[in-house]
Amino acid sequence: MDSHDNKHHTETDTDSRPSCKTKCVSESLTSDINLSKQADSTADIGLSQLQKVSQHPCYSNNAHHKYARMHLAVAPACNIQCNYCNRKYDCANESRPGVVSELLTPVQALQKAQAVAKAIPQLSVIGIAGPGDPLANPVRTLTTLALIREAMPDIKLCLSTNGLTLIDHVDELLQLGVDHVTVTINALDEVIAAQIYKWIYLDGKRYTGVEAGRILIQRQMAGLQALARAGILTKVNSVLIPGINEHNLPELSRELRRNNVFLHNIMPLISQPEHGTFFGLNGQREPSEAELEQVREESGGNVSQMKHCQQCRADAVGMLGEDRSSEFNIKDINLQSVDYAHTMLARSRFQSALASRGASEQQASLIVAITSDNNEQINLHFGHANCFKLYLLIKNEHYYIGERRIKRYCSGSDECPDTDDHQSNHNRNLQQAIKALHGVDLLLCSRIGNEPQQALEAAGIKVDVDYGYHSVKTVLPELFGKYQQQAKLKWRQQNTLEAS
Amino acid sequence: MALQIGEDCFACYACETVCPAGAISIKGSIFVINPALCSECKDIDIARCLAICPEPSVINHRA
Repeated sequence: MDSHDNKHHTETDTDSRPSCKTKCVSESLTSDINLSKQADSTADIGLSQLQKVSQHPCYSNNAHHKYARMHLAVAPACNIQCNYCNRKYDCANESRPGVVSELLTPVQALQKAQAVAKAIPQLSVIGIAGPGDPLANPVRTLTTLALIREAMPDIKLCLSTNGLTLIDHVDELLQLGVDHVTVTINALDEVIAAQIYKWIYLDGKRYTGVEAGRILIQRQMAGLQALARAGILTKVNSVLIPGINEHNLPELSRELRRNNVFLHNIMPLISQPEHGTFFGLNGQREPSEAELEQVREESGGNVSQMKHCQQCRADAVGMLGEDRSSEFNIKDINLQSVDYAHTMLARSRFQSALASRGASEQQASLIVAITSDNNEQINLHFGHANCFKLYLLIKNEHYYIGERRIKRYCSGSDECPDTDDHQSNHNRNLQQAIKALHGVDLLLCSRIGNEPQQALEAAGIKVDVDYGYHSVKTVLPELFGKYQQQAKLKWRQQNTLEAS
Repeated sequence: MALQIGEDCFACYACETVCPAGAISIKGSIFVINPALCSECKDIDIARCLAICPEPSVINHRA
């Protein structure tokens, strides 16, 4: 496994593609993230990034009170031996990175994810963080991400890695809609790295010492650059090891800033002899609170610092700081019992009530989906959207309540070829989009073909193209009047259903 | 010519993941190497499973 920290948070959501940039909640968000430090480092954080992190407990200081995460332990193998890590002992009472009680297959992971999403409606993010290095297990990891992306459109995906093979997988992560990645980097200097890693394994070969450090750092930096090019939001975790890397971490943070890293999470080394790690057994001490504070202070001028990390296990479930993984053992989960469309509807109702402080449970409301590539205008053709942003409307108020992700309905550029293959892809993706929009009352897009429009309306989703290229902010407050009959009807039906 | 895995294996799956011959599988709580399939990675100096195994001396040459 790669590290401690890797596992700490796993995060990622999905948004990577240019079409899914978001804005909206930005104002409330700026307070979330520990933007404490430097003015121009906050300027680097775009509004779309702010919304990206708004529901990610590990990225947002605000979100960790409201949203839950889960780590799926599908990735046992590791390609690095870190001196602070030992996965040999597993104990259900132990909460630290790299530790896991139950390894899952990708199919089991999906089943567990659906059961948890049903039981914990705050669940917003699913990540893969280990117990080894997710990208040292590419088949297990990527298969799991693909299964979840297809079956659970309302979930953000994230991933943690030591970065050794990241550069080989960035394109796939982008395709899968992973848009948060955490990379654990503990040194910028290869000589210092040699004191932290016993060895690395790459392309069939084990490397040790300074050579291992050099290869690892060079590949980590290339990975960061590839993530930045792909538009994937990146956080870096570093383990502070006193006497070894405290002077190298502020230097690292300068490099992170150059590579558009969004957040730097410097965590204290966990080093007890009973954990059986090289450091633990050799008397390497943990840093003091003051030492940690100082290194964060020295690094904070370069990259925003994360301070609410709880250093959780690679199979943690629940709000940050709590772990409910033991409630969801795979053998106890009745897999057939989750109807995810129904779960997703209940989850949207929960998010609506949360966002509107209960108002959505008291009066008529609508859920509106919009397609936009900048989150300012309704400017995307339905066929070109891979993400719908959902808003709750109550009278002239609107609240952002999350997103639903799909594969683009149409992969063609301007004109679709009239082939059977292309047609069957269309059909599959259209059905997927209808599934993903379950519970949505109204779709606003710039344009849409006849066939998909009819299919959506047959499924109970009204389509409105009158607001193409209008601003989201102006349209939403005015929309309720136009659709209030529909909102009232929905409210009556909902109440009748609940009364019966 | 084949390698074998000792009882100290803690089943981290690393060897199974990198074995090009598909010779490694889990049996009970540890991994085992099928000697009929293992060629000790003749194409490189040190077999891949040996290079990635985190437990020193768990993987050995079969007597």
